[in-house]
Amino acid sequence: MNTPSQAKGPQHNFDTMDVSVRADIDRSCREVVLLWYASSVFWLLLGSVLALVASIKLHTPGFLAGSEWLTFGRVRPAHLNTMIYGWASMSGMGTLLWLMARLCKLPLPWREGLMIAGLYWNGMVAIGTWQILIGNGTSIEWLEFPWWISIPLGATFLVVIALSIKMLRERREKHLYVSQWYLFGSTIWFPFLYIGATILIHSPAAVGVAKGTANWWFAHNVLGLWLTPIGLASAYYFIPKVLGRPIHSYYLSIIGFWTLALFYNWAGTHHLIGGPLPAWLVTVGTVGSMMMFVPVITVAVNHHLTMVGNFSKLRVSPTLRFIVFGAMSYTAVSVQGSLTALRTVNETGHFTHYTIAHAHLGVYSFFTMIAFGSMYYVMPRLVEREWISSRLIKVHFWCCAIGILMYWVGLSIGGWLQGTWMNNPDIPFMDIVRRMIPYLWSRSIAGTLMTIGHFAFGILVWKMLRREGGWLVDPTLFVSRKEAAAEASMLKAISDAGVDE
Amino acid sequence: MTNTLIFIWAVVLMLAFSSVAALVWAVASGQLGEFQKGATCIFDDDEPIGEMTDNFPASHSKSSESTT
Repeated sequence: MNTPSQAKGPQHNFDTMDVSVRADIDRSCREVVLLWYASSVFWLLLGSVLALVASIKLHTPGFLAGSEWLTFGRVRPAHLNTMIYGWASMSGMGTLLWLMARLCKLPLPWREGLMIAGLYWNGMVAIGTWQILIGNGTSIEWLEFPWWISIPLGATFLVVIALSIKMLRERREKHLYVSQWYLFGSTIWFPFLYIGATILIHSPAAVGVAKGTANWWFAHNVLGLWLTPIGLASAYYFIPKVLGRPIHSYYLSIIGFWTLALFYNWAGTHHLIGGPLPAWLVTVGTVGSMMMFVPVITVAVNHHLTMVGNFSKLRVSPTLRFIVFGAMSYTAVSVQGSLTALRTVNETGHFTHYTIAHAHLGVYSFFTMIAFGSMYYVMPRLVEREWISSRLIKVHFWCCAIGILMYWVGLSIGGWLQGTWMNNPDIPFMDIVRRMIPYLWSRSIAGTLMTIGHFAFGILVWKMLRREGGWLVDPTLFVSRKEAAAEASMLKAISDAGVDE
Repeated sequence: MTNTLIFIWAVVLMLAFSSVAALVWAVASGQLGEFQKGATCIFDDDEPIGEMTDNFPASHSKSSESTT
């Protein structure tokens, strides 16, 4: 098909250098990043269904009770692991590879290898999830895959470390943008963490308290040293890039990175407050958590001051809308997390639904929303087609945004009450279980909303992969930026006047 | 202290050490010296400061037709 963009070709256009360099880099990422992205969306949909099954069982225990594959003890870890290793890690890897290529100004190397790594990763997650569902899960939270899956899965990270060192050495842009610091941080720390924790937890020497300590040091750092750096790297790139406005204070952003690097790793043991650990070990975790206020406040101030005066642009950019939602949630979840690490707060919140709400605020409201925003930006540039429908994007956004808010509010309030009641020995345990039912319903309803949003996103991605959208003129820029901007503002004025689509 | 705890501390310290080593490298190689240049390095002549690079797609199929 001879299309306008192919016919013109990027090479002999105005502003040729920047456009063609960028287009070449995007093309080098195409197959690899699309594979990781498309797989991640598959796991997102599967994980959402597993989540709903688990959630419904909590208030309607008879639901699917006849199938041992779908008992709560299997379906919940299956949900967790498909979401973390399937959805979050795979979409994170896609964004990470694209951002690294773009920021190093290098075409993506080792494409065949990364494709094979993607297929291999999918295979491992699939076998691992199947093993959990047939009852071979390890019951170690966040590491439920059997050891013979965890270790081969972790081996993939060796490729990622080698790749990031190679790109770091060969980069054409000498200055490391703040996002690159975060990305290199995540690729270099997380493999240590994953391989270290896997070996530790599955070694025969790991028993009792040591096993619990390793488990929570690991589980907390999956968020802290893997998902958080990728999420923040995306926010630090996409917010300024979409707005066309440099980050408010680059200095603060660098301070934020270094303080995160120095403090986050210590925070994990706050999960074991009240457990049989040496008190100092828990105190280290609490202090580490409190120190996290420093990077969190710097990031919050920085993103807010970059956005100030531009909040109206949330209406026109899907990427910005999702990412700003995620960035605000990062502040909320981190402040909540630091406070939850205090022993007095933990006394009530621990072992209740409050913790579940908090975890979803982190992995969903922060990381997942940022991942959606990044994919909305990156995929059209790879496929060179536009998203098929802005209405579906809006459905996706509002279902997820309202869903997660409802989820968090319902379970936080419910969980806090649950904690207060459980601390009162006069209230029978079964009464508390019954009083929780309405809150658990609110979770199922919220989860249904989010799942609807995910299916809307699934349709958009499917259509994108089938190249059903209009040809892209804007991002890879086959027409002049000024023309396109004038065009967009004119068309926006028309659509604002009521001539929708 | 069990072997496992020693292993954990070794990994923790290794992680911490990697951070410190990277910080030393960053200072020594001047990465922390040019903040203004750093903040603007994601923009170029083609996607300059002051222009948005993302919008909802509603108008795009039309604009691609009208520009040709």
